[in-house]
Amino acid sequence: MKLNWFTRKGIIYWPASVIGWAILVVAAGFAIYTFIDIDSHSHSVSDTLTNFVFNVLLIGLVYTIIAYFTEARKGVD
Amino acid sequence: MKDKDEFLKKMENLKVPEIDPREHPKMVKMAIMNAERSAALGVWLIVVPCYFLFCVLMYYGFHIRAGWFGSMLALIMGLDKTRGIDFLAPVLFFLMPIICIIINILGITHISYQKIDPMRSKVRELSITLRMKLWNIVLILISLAILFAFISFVMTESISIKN
Repeated sequence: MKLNWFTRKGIIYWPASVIGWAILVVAAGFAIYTFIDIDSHSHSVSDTLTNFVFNVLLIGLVYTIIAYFTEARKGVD
Repeated sequence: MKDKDEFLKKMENLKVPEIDPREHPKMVKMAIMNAERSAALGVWLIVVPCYFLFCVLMYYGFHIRAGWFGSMLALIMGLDKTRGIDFLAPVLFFLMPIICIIINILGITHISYQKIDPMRSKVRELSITLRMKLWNIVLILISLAILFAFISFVMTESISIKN
């Protein structure tokens, strides 16, 4: 089954359909929620930012794995 | 007119190289995976371990005792002690680099398995070719370095616990 939800530019996957945009919005929303949650528990700015960057990288990894399997294929080079 | 005839004669007598069109499909080498896609995913697979190793290098290597690096170390150490997410550290530092190595090797490797002599059907040739794609090779080397660092850390820790 061919899914064309994302297109790749460099190492970043951009949405190419409504489902792709929905996934991006969910990922961004989850990142914002994570930031608010971490900020409410942490004691310093560096603590907040370290945890947030770590979580953003994990969210980016999951988003990229989804995009990798659902992007528009151009064939093997 | 005479020149034209001579030219035509020359053209008719030209030796055309013999090409067997059946040979050509054998020469087309296809990679198992797309190299650029493998590199794009590979970057994301090793970005967290690279970020952590950068913090370790800054904290212990260059003795920069900034709160940023210290809290990153505490975060990764805390993953092991937190129930439910204790699997995350081995996945990030062991499984992800291995996946990165595999997909990038498949991106630059071409494998062909073919008959070399039509007269002898049992004689076949396996040829493995590596394409020199810079980013894929760099990602493979970085992943190997992460694996080496992680395995050395685990071995050192287990030896120190035994002692």
